[in-house]
Amino acid sequence: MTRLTPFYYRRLIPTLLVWLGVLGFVLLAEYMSRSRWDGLLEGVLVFAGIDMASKVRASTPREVMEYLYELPVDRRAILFGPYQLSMLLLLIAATFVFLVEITGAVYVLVYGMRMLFEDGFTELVYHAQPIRPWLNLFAAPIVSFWLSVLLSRWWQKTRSMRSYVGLYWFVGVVAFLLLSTPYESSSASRAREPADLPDLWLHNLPGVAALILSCWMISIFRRSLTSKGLEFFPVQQEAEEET
Amino acid sequence: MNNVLEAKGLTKLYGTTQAVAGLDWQIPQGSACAFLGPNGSGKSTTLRMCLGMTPATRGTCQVLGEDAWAMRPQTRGRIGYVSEQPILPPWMLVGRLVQFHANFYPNWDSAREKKLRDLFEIRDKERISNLSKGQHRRLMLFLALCQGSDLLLLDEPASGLDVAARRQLLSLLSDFLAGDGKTLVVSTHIVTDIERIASDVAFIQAGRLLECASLDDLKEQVKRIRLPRDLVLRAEPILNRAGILDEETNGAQHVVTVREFSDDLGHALQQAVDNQADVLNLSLEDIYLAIVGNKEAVVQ
Repeated sequence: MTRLTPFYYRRLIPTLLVWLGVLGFVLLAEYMSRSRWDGLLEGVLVFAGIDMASKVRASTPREVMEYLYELPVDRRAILFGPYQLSMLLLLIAATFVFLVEITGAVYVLVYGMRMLFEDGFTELVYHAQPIRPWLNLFAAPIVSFWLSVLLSRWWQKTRSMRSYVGLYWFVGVVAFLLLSTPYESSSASRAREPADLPDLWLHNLPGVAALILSCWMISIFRRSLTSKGLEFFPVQQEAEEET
Repeated sequence: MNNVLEAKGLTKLYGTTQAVAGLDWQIPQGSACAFLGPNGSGKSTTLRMCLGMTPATRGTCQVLGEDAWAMRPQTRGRIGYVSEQPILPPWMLVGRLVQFHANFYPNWDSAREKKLRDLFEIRDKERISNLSKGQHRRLMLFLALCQGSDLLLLDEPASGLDVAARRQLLSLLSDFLAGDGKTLVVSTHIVTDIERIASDVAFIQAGRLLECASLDDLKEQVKRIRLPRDLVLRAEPILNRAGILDEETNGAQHVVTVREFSDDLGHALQQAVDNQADVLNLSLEDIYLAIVGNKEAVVQ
């Protein structure tokens, strides 16, 4: 925590609802789903992590950044501040998930919701969903934050870097989805059938499609809230115009 | 006397556009420098480079003995800055911002803060996004004046302020300058205001420094001479020696503004025109228009 934390914290508040929503959705999906949702789970987390870090930066207008530069603070601390805070929140969220997993608190929630679902739902939950290594679940967003930090310097310096960075994320997400599947399939606690490569693709296709769909829906959701006058990302548009 | 600011060959390029071109500028400690120039002449960019907010493309800038771009936070804490644009975070409450801002400055002057609160109409519960342009500027000035700076860089501080507020500002800046070794640099369009407190002036045009001198020296040297039109030919060699900035004929009178007037030159001129020349003092605004306006004409 630095003296700048209260400043960036305020920028994060509008993103927290989205973030908590995504987290809640992921937690429930994790325990309610079968293997073919794994791609979605990982993807949504990666997306949410990147999204939150980039939005904090984008929602700080250039003029306001000038105010920070005017302060007697190291320039690097100003630039890295949003990422540090985002990562702190992510680690808190990861710890929360970890605690939920080891205490079994989520089963209480799922058990409470059993009436909403078909018969045998809770049994399905118990059998289908094991404890997933929480670090694995959150490793991608955490790494993505720091890669964002490192890449942001190139990003700002060279416009041509944008295509490389975009390609990097695309390859990274696809590779992660593919790699996570054989890893999980070797786990005895997973209800996933071992599969060859085409099967892996097929397994992940719904997840990838759902990931794209969820990104799109979140963006529509934001736009509709903004058009209704809700201060969602209050100065994001201004920041985009500035850049 | 030490210089608080020393720029050598300071240059800033935005793509192929040259915003500041090889600026050589020194500001002695304890001075009040009026930094004047037309819109887009590079004033704000120069001040931003001096504060280390943007790097110079070429050249160096030493502020309070340190390179501006690599300035330590402790040194930056000795500089107060008010930008031309509103830069305060719009989502914060005024009181919260003052508290946030004060935390960064070990020399924050709480007594001055109390004194200036009423004067600047600081209302803690108001959100910054709801402030008018003038209120926003007042808040920026309030912060800059309370942080105990040794060097104050003000970029168009009077913009958006009414006449009464401008008077108050000048009075406060005079108070600031009364402090030991305090230095002020003000970029402004309202030349008449700053003339009351400025000790030095710097004129910038198209990124180049045209003049950098003490105001008193400049007022001694830049004069307007009015003489009968039919005596112009007799006066011309002397006026040329003094460096003509501009001239115009108005009926039977010819009016010439010169850059390097001196007593000797004045005697020679009066002898040449049989004591029929009137030597007029100029205000800072007139001097500015004569020097910068003249260069603008040359550029055009």
